Amino acid sequence: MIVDCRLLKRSGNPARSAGRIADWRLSAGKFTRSFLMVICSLLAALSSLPAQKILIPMDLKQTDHLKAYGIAYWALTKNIDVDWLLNYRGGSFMLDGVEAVATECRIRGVLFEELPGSQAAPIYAEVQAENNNMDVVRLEKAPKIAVYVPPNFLPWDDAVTLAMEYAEIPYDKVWDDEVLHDKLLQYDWIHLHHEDFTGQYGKFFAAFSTAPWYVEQQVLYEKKARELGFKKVSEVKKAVARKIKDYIAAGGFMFAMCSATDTYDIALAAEHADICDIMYDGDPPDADAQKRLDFSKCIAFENFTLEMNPLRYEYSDIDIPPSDQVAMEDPETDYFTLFEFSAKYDPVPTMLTQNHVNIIKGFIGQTTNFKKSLIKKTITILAEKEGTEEVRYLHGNYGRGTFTFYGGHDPEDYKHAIGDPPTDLSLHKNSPGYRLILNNILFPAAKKKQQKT
Amino acid sequence: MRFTIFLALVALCSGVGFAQQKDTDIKFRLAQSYERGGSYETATTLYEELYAKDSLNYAIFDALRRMYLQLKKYDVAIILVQARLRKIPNDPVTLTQLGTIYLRASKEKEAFDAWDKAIAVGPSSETTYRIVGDAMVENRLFDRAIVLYQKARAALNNPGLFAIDIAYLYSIVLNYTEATREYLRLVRDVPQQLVYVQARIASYTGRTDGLTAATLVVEQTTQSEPDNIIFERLLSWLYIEGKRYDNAYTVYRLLDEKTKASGREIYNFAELALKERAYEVASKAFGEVIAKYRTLNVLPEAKFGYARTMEEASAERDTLNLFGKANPFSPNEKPATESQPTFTGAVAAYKRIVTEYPNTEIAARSLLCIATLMVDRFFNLDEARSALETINRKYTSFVPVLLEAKLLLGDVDVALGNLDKAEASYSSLTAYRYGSPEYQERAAFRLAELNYFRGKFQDALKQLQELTKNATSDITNDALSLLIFIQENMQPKEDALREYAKAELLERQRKLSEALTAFDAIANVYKDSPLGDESLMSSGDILTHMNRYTDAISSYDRLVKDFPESILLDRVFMKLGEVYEFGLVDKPKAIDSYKTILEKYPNSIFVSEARKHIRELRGDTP
Repeated sequence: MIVDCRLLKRSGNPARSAGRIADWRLSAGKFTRSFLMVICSLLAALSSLPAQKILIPMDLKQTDHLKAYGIAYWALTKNIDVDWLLNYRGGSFMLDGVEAVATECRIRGVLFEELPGSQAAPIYAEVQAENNNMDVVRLEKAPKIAVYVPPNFLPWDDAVTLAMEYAEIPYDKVWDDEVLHDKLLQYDWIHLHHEDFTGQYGKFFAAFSTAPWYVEQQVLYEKKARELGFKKVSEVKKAVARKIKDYIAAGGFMFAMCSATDTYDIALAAEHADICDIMYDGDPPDADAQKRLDFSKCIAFENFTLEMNPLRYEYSDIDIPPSDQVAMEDPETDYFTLFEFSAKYDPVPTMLTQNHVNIIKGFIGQTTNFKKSLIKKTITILAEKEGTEEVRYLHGNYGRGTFTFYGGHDPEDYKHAIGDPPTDLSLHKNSPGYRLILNNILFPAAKKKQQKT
Repeated sequence: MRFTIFLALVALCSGVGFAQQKDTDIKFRLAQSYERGGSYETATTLYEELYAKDSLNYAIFDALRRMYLQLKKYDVAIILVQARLRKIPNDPVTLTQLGTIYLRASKEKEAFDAWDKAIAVGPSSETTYRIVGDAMVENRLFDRAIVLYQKARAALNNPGLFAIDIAYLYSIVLNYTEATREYLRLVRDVPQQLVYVQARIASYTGRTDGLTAATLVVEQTTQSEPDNIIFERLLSWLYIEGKRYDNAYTVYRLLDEKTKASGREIYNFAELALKERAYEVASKAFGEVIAKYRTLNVLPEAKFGYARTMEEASAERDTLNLFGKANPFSPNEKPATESQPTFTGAVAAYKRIVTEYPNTEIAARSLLCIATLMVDRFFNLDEARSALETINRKYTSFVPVLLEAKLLLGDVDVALGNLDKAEASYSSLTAYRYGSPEYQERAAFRLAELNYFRGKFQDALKQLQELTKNATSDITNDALSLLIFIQENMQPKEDALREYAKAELLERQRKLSEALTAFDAIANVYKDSPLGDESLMSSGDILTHMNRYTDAISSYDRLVKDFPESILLDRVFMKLGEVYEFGLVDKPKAIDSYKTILEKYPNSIFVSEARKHIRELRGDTP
């Protein structure tokens, strides 16, 4: 501190001099205090600067996008903080720079960057800047996951379980017993396999009625229905559908693909209608089945028309194009486009659409796309085939919970048929189609942020 | 005139009747069209009108019944059917239909009563049970149908009745035990149905519980009916399906005895077991054929098979070939100074074949096997040479064997240090007109190698460049590898490369201590040579083969320390990992070595394998 002694020297008045000395002392004291406060603040700031961070980029540089989700999940199980940087480099993850994370990334083949705190801070600043369509979402805890599958299920029959097995994300299997006995409440997230909730065994009768697996499946399902006190399989499935709806209303999250999407809503609508023909439930359908549908019970669709021909591989007109016309689709030109959402104002759809590309190659399934005109107005469309009525990916709320529907069977197998070999995801580590599935798995882990207005 | 009027009247009546019938037909067809089009209400109305006119017409009755069921008008359907029963009582078909309608209307008791009444109409008629049984199956009452069919057996005193139906129904309800029992009943009565029964049982042996259940039932049956060889055949097939080869062998022996096949059945089993890689049991089976059935026409093949099983039983594969073709951590891949009982037995077996069946192809193949074993397992080069020269002299008509023998003879001469003789053998192959190009290429590669060992690098390069022109040959990769190695290490001087080639030759000759000294010398003397790291690597490999794991690690560690820029480092860490894992069984150090590859060499070709090893060692293989 430099004291201007000239002040003292110039003053000839002792009283004034004394006053000035007192002033000087006061100023010196104030200055010292201020100086000390600055030092302390600096020290505090330095100590609060994040230590080493690990960034897992999710842009085209990433070597294994799918396993990266597994790393994020794994970190959550180890109580390591994970931040999802929405729209930053394809929806990257930022984790605390723990050596175990780095080791695990190396072992699983996931590309990562080690950043000192000084490099991580500007990234956060960039992501949170008002003029950037990005945001940070803190992932809180690893969601508890259930998959609704029958006892004879094989993991490679279903794209979601394939993805979870590859990403090493654990899950429990549940079926009708567990659902009807309210075991779902133990889980944060449920996936519905490719179940046919209408009770028509996937409408495979025409092609596979004598196949041993079909016969066995029907016997198994009927046996289960009887055990649970139901006369028909279709009645069990409707009861299960309603239970799942209750689960969503209570705050659960449901993800469905392929035929589990439209058949789920059809089952809800057909609560008081018999839509199954004799080969499926032992008696003919109601003649006025279509009229008896109650669309108010559906969560995603409305005003759809049932396909009552039991031999046709289709449930209703929700599915577009119809399953028996997809042979006309050209795989080389079949793509769908992801919509972009505001990360700060619509974090949920933003999370669900995180990807390193926004145009994704299509793939068909028993239910491939959803007809736009039959989707309820409250539903958020996440992806569609531009210029058409074909919606691929949608999301909605029901009660305190949410659900997502994703059309098609296997994102890396354009036309997967029964008996085809399973997809080897190690050959599709960067699959944008599979990323959409895994976005749904991590989304329930997100801390609920106060919505910006 | 009266006659004419009479005729006219008859014609008129016929015409009216015909017209009425035609109207009925048209209306019926119209109703059918509405039915096919899904307009069930309209079709029903038409059928009702037709029924009102002719209630005894079965086609109309059946159509109307069908429509009532379609529209779920069960009460009306019941009335319809009961009305018919009043007119035609005791018709099992109608009674069965009534039962079905009651069932659809959720009146189970009435349904079963109706079916019981149907049975009571014809309790001694198979057809009656078939009609009612079909209705039960149609309504998916499989268990009831089974009970009914079994009741039919008792009533008709025919224990084999409905066997196929009952068996099929049991398999549908996943009761594989009873299903198998029924199929056995069928094949017991009609042995010609064995193939059919096997196919039916095969429909559920793909499931573990199906196979277990079927096997248990057939086992029990063979014990209770030991004289029926059909069951033995089924059992042997089931054991093979379940990969229970020892059990299958026992059964085949029994079969052979019962059918007096004089060893043929056992031989067939032995061949099957060999193909399935069940070497131990294959060896036993072949051994038995040889010992007991000397007149069997396939005896030579049996002896050869026996020798092969003994040889194959101990072969293990190291797919990475990190330490060369031999896996240094396999108990069977010891340096060739030890004799292994298995291989000794195999050699003896091959020798017996040569003695007993001279001048046959099987003898030629046996000689080749002897020579290969002598080289690979015992490194007994003299005996190998003797066998190969015998092939060269006496078995020239068996061309594939001859060519392989020539190649191996060259290799033996290289190992013995007779490079000129080896050159002669290889040259004769390259000039041979009748063999496949594969042998010529392999021989050409060996010649290039010889030039390399001799230090004639330019000659070797020329030969290798010729070989690399054919991109589809199996030998191209090896040729390319040696070509690049020579080219890279010839500069700035050839001295180090010359010494290295000599050291490699010593290693090929299994003069391991001398080779070790030579490699160490290169590493010490030619420190600036690009071969320093290669030499240390080779030293480490030799020490690993000699089970001197600690010394091997020192050699590899020295490579890492002295040659921090070496392109071999990822390979070295992989080898270190394996030595720690399999040699010293030190898991933490093995994991550290593998982790180093992931950290420092993320683009290495060994990354996947390193990951796999880490996860296996951690116990968390996905």
